[in-house]
Amino acid sequence: MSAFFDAISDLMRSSGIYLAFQGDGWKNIVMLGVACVLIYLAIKKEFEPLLLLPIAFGMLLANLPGASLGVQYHDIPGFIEVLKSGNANLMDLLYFGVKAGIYPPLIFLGVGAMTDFGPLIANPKSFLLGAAAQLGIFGTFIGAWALGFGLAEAGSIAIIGGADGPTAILVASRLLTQDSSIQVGTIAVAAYSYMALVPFIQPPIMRALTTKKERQVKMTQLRTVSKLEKIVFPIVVTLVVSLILPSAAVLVGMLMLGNLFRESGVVARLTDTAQNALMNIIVIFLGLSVGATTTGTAFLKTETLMVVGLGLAAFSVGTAGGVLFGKLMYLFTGGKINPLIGSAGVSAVPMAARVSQKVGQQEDPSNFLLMHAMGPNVAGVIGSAVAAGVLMSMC
Amino acid sequence: MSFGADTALVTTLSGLLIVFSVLVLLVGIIKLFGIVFSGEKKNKNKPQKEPQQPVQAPKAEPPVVLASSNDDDEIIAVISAAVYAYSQSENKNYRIKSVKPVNTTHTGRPAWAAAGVAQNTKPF
Repeated sequence: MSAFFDAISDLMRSSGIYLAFQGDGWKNIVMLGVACVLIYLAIKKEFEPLLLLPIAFGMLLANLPGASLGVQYHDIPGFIEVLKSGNANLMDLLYFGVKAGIYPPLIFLGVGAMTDFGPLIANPKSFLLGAAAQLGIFGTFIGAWALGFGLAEAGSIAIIGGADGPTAILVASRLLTQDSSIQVGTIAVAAYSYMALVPFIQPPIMRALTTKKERQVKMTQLRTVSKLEKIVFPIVVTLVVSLILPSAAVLVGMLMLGNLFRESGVVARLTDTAQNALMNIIVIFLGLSVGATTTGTAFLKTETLMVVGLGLAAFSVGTAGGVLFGKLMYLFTGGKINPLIGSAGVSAVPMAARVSQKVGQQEDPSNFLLMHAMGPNVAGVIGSAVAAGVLMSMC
Repeated sequence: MSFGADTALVTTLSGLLIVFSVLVLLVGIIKLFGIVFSGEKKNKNKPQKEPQQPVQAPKAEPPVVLASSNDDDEIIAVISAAVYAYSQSENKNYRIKSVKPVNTTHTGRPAWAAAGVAQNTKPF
């Protein structure tokens, strides 16, 4: 009879409910709450649901007491240790793709296959707006330094300002180690939350920095871009960027390969796979495993709050940088450039461009800025990839 | 753990400088091949314009009278082509007396282009 009670009590002791009240178990409970809030935001408010939903559910799984579904390592030697111990779980295996830098470039392949660089080729000056919006990254770097973060952490927090999920995850996974005070999951959650909030963060800044007259500027129609130009573009950009900054080659190279698939017109099947099937599979793996790094002990820290604050600053400074540079271009071109397209320089494709379009139409319903804003928008993707290369080689 | 102000400044300034210089270089290169390719295109366009004129000639076949104060060549060409195609199939002749715009707001682009832009940007 006592054996029976022992068995029952052992079972009780290994249950999640029992473990939740042991030691740091309460942190897991708090994280389950956070995960549910994020799931709500993804489904009800449609905040970047494609990524936020898998991230949030990964968070939920990782924080189930006793289930041991959290990622158990932070670097490649750690991964080998976990493998040797024979305790590697699904999330450990999936997260290897993040840590080894496999997923983000593959997502860039899909993004490249979906992107039309035509507006940027037609108006190459847009590159400058894409560069100006990277001010958010470097401004935040200073902010992170001021708050006492280490070099690797500061670089990882700063890249949130690039408004590009895969880039942020790649940089954070390369820079952060076992000893870092923050983890990749924290960066990913902050980056995707703010990307979803772009339509709320940007308009007030855009309106505050521009005059009504500037917002009403109608831009001349873009010239048509030949097929040959669109084919040569990805090859030239890959060569130029990679020769100057080899550390950015992996992101820019894959982005441009995807784009070459699309523009060449001869590999429709590859284009289709890159932008649909492959992209979706990678998004699931990436979201789920990044979410699984946010265990209670790793996430519930004052540093997380600082990352959230700095992330907001990063987006705001980036938007302001783009708009102010847009104003400069407005002055230099004698009023031909609408400064509102500058804010689209923070990558967040195509959301930031839609915001430019919307704010422009609020002033003048017959103004169509969308195609003009797509130029800085896709330039922002290239710009943040270059900035990522800089951070990865300097931090 | 934390690092010095000099490292922070150097990283920030050199980072911004690299990002700007790479993208400025790209602006130059893309502009250059814009000039090269659009130069080529202009040469290609010239011979294309010549055969366009004889295409307009058969338009004179149906009796078309254009009476509108706000003529838009493109629209009238499309309407007359449509009417002509229809009259051929019915074996009857139609005359277009006038083409008037219906309270369009002025957008600074031809009506067809405006309709196209409106359709393409509607989902956003």
